[in-house]
Amino acid sequence: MRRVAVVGAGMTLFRHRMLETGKEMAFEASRMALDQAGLDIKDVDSVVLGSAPDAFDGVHMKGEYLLDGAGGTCKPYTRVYVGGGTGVFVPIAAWWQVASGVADIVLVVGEEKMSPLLPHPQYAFWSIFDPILERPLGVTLLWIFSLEMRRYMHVYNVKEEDIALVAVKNKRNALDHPAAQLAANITVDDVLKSEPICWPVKRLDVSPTSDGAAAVVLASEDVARRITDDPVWITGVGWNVDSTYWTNRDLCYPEYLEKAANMAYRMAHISDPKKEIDFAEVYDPFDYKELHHMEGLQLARRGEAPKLTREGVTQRDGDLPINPSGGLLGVGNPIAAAGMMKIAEVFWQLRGEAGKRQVKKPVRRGLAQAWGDLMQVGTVVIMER
Amino acid sequence: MSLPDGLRNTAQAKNWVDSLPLSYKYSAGVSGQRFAEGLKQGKILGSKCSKCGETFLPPSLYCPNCFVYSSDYVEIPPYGKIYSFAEADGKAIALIRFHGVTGGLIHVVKRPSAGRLKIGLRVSAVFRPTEQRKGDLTDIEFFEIRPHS
Repeated sequence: MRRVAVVGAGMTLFRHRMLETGKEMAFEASRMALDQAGLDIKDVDSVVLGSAPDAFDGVHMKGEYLLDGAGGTCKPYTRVYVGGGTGVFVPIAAWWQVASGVADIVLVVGEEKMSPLLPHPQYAFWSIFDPILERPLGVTLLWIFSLEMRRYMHVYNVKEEDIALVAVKNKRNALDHPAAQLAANITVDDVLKSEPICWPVKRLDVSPTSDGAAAVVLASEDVARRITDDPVWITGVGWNVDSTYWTNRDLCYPEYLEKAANMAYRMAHISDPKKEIDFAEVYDPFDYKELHHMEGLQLARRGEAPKLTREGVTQRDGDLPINPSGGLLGVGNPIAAAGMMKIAEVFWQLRGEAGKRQVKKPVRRGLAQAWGDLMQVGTVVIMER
Repeated sequence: MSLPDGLRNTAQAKNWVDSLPLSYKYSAGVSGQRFAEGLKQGKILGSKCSKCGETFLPPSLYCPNCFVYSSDYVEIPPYGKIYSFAEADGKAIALIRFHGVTGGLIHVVKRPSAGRLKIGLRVSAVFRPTEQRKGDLTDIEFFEIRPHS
């Protein structure tokens, strides 16, 4: 296998409703990534695009619709999709191409335009439920998360206050992110007193729905050494999918994520992730999910993530910064673009280009993770300088 | 076991009926919004790539060839030619192409009082009165055949 480098990254603003169409957002993020890499579209051998359900944009065949905005016209072009895990899966699918020698330069794009759907983007999630077993109940996606959050709190005796600390941290981190949608200086009390949506899930426990796009450029070692003095290497990738029957699962521990992480750790020769990973961008569509995912990634022992959070370990100046970008809770959650934002953040952090978001300790190795489908997918990428 | 023995009668299968009513509110887009504003002013706006010089209608934020911003908006004279057309229910819809422009518009063509629609006929846009324009494609009421075309 050939070594694969990230050589450029770009993204749009994340907002509830962007003026830009999906194609336009894909273009803007792609253009920025190509500009950072010092490349042009004619240099690109292949394009991989990730986007979540077509129901949001309201254009079926979304991959083909977005093609020219992602610079994929008349090139080998693929759209990949694993639900919310898509954002971190797109660079994995692009990595295959460079590692295998099929392509030297691949443009990787995550796009999501959730705002078109009325009366609210959440309604698209109705269509993901089993039509016979679940839909007649009239439940929304938030109900499942409520079940999972409550189970997690119950098993490890976690308090709402501890979980709220994640929302406080991430929304505050996002104050330094120029693309952020929901950056704010809030308190634990604000979270606890926010509108209950489906208890224990409250308004401020949840990331917003968003429009946005993000992109990176991957290159083979030869190309990377020629065009940049500062390549960031992808040293581990992992992905894993559990059954769609989430009701059969242990809701307090994401086993599929442990498997995905272990696949990536093996490839990157990591035996003690808690010590060897310097910082991580873990998927945080809900505040408790950051804790859940830290444990699945074995960055914390089971039930230990709330304690690490309380002790400040996961702050930007802590020993193990988690979501220095501001995460989905602060920057926003345009699904596939949100995962790609995390890939871009790890890239910028490792290059020391994160500006006010730069974590305090020197970093050599970072991890990005996403999660999705019906709570069944784990996708993991490890990057090193 | 022969195949027919293995087939089960599924005609009695119970059905669950569900409907998922969805409606959407789409963004006009950066270039789409300029296009709409142009229509409201009685203008057809295209975009011109500053690199390759190609003009696109409808306008695009970016040049699909060069993959750079094509930020120059240019007014396209409202005279075109029927590239192809379709007729049904007493109505005719045509793809109208404009000289020197990539792309075109699909719109209603008013049928001539004498003669028939033909590919290649020259047409011109008829805009609604200013006060009736809404900033969408219907600000052009229809295209009409130009005399002597």
